Amino acid sequence: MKRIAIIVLASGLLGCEDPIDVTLEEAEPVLVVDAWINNKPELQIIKLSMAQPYFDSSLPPPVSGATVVVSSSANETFIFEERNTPGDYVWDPSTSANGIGEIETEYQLQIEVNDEIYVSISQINRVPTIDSIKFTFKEELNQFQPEGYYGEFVSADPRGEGDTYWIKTFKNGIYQNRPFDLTIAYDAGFSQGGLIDGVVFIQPLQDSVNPLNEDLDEIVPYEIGDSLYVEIHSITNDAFFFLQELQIQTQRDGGFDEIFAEPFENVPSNIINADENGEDIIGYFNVAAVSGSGRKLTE
Amino acid sequence: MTTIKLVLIFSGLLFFLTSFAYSQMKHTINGYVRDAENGEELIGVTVYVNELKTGTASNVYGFYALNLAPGDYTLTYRSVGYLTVVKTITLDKDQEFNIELPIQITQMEEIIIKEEAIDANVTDIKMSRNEINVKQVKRLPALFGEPDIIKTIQMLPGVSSAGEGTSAFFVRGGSADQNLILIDEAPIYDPSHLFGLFSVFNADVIKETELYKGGIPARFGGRLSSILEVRTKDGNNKDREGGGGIGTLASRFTLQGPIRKDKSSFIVSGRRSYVDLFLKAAGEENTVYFYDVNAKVNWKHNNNNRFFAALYLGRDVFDFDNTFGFDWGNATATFRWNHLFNDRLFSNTSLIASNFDYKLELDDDTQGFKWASNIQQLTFKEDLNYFVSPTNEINFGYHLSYQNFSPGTIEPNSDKSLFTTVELQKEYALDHNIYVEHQRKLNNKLTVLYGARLSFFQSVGPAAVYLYEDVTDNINIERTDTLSFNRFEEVESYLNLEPRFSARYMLNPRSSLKLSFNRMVQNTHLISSGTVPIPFNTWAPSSLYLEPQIADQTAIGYFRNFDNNQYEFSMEAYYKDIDNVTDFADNAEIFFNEDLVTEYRQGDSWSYGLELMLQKNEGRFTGFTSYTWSKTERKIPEVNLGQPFLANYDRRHNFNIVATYELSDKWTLGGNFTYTTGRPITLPNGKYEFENYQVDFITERNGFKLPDYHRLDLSATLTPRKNEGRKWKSSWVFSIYNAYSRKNAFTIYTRTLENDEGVEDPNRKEARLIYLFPILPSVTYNIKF
Repeated sequence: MKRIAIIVLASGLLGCEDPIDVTLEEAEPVLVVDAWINNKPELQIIKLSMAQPYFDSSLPPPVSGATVVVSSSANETFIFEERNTPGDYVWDPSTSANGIGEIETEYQLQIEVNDEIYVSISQINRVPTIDSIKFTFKEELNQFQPEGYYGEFVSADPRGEGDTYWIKTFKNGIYQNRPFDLTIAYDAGFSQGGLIDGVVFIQPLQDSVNPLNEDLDEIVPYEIGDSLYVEIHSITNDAFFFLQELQIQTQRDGGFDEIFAEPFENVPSNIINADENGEDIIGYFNVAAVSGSGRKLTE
Repeated sequence: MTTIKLVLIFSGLLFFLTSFAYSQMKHTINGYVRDAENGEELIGVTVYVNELKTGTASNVYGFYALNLAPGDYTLTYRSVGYLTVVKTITLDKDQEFNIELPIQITQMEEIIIKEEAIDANVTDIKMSRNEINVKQVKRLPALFGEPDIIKTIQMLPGVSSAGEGTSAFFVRGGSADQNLILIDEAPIYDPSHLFGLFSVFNADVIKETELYKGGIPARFGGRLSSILEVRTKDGNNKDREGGGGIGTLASRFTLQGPIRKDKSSFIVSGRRSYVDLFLKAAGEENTVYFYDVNAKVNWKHNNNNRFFAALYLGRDVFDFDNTFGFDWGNATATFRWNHLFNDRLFSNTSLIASNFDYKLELDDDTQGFKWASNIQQLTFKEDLNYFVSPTNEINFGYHLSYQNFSPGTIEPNSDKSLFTTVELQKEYALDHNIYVEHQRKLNNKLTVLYGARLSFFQSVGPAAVYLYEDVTDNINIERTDTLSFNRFEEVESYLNLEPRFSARYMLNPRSSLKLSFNRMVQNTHLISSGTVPIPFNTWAPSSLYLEPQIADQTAIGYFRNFDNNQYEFSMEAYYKDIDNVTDFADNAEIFFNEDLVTEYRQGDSWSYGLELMLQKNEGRFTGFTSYTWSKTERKIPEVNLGQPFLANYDRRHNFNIVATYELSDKWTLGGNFTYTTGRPITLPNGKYEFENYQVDFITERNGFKLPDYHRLDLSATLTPRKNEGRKWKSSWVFSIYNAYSRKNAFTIYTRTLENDEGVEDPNRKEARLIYLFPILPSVTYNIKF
């Protein structure tokens, strides 16, 4: 809707844009926690770093020396230890007797750093299996969809409203993680109001595994020899809203969209300081159950 | 509160009765004041009784009445742009006295202004009020050659805009939805064409435009910050007349004339843009256009009964490749009956219907849908003016509105569509208002106007109201119960008393002090979280989860005229405080949300400012210059961590010049200059990484100020001499918008730059400025016959 307005303005009028130097008040450094873990049998990492002023061009400074512990409602404890990379706190499922996995288990994250204690709670939710990955050869449909092989995954959302997922695409083993690749689902549809529940994921979601080119104006079809691997991660409802806001913010592509854009707002956080008057924190904690399936395109 | 109410009603009644008693031995002279050329009723013409050094003014329907002791009087009728008419009468019985004022043919002759001429700027009790001279607007530089009163309104003291290319305006720290915009008494919910490039007001049909920013009369209510009242022409009742114009972006035509001479007349006017024709010529298969139709008829049954019917229709239509399209528009209809119950009791009865709707449609097999939304209002109004004596006037009335809000319906437009029909709940409301207002001249220096409006607003069924575990939790929404209401069953009601008070004290014949207080209540809330409302926003009534917004404003002013009333100067200071100002939670989902009520956050807003204005209405050189200093802040629970922040339309300094100069009878020059402080916006000032995504964050809402805005526009109007003696009279208006082509910031945004390989590099950020119009020349050709 916004974009259409922009076409109108841009075609009818002569508006333009230029780079400009602005002086922004520098934000205070804040602790950032990236605690997005799952039940896959691989190294689980929780990252601690500091936020930076907007125009700072250095790498985000890692935060070392923290105690990071995840405990479950099943009375299990997972200790995340800082190993080789500063700021990366790691737990290795292969060296542990117990694992992350039982659906509907609650997990609590606790971080102690610089005399502050931060906590968060999440829950692991069910995830549907992926029945198959398909490739279909399609004629050129429009400028946006050229001729070639298009991938899709077949999977059905289980009955019952309120399942939320993050769908990740790996093309030739490379995780597609540009802002426009971020795909989330509420039941079998895009968002909460859709009321599409207990059915196969809607076509646009199945089609989301076809990444765009660099200019984001054309789908790059799969070629013979390419592989496609799709993962569905179950996420909590609030994590879904968090990602939705992240999506809105990171997919903001500037230009004339800004004219009708809503004001810039912070994405929410689900980690809090145990002491109300303590230092602020930004970040998110989610424990996902993951299902995946892949296929190579052959002749 | 009840006590205040009783005292008010009682004192009103008392004045009513006492004035009745002592006015028994007097006679009344009354009538309509009209334009001699086309018979249009004239509003605000001063009728001055020279012998008594007092007078009255014609009301919004052109009617005046004076109640005087028997005797000989000299009456002076005066209005800007018209020759002054002086009449002597012998009053020995009640008399009807209709007057026609000849138009000032040319402004070239300097008018001789009598010393005792009264001037509304100083003597009128009204303050914080501006009239917009549409004749002048037509000679001012205009964007794409389309004269627009809203663009001039945005330059008045106490008024600001969000930036060029928008029809939204902000009055004394109020947001855009706090303006009541009326065309022939019918509310307009979105005054924009082409997303705000132009307003819905066709300059050819406007008779009178008034903006009330404070000291708002009790007959108005329903919005917090201002009343913009646009009255259209009634139509020439003497001769048939036509006219039109061809502009850069749109064309218009008007036809008016008598149906039965001096008894009834009509006017019809249309305007249509033709951007789409250019697009078609450029090979684009897209449709983009807007149109307006204004029509009005009036007939005079006799002097005691007059009828008017007015219609406005406007629409914007956009269609892309016949696959995606949307449109929006207002439609209003007004029926009015002016009736004289007796010599001094004037009544206006109106029936008003107003509709605003929009539609979006996507034509697609699987994803096709049609989305429609509207708001409708039906109003009955009874307004009465009782002219007790030249020093004593009472206005009172009753208004009843029925409102119907349909926030949205989504329907699939094919069998295969994924969409199912979803309809957001409609909401209904009844709005009752009574008001009384008494203007009393206490002595030669002091006049007071006091009154009140009592608003009783009911949100009514049919409705199913959800109850929530925590209505402010917009993420984990938990409905606990549903309450059902039948048709017209009350869901919630709000009773509010709105006191209004104004006073004027003459310091000397050329200067006065004025004071006003008004409380305004707003029960219709705009659901928009952007700065500039867009046509796809919806409205909601006060209800269980949305309380009425209440504004109290106090203003004081000093008014002085110079140089035989040629120059009018005013200085006003105001303080406005708003309770329950409607805002929304961070990241609110305002479109198609069944649990929208969880996004509501009502808080406080306060603003104050100082406004200076110097105006010249007569002579070859006319125009105004204004300067405003103001500040507006808001405090909304949970927003900006509960800390106060600047409103996104806050502008500290605002300076404007609007002027026209008649160089000769052939050429008239016009110019606008505006300089304002940039408005605050929110830019991210921090960043972090999360799951390989770059996330930006802010520490303060509206913490960044855009660069200062300034712009100069110029125009020249050519009226060829060969017009004289011709039936067809033509003129050309040449405009240059943004004469020195300043790149004024519409907004600034930030983005991540790409590295040499075309991949976004999170460590390289850039801010970019968006500006809309560089220098833009335009031509408009006007014709009149």
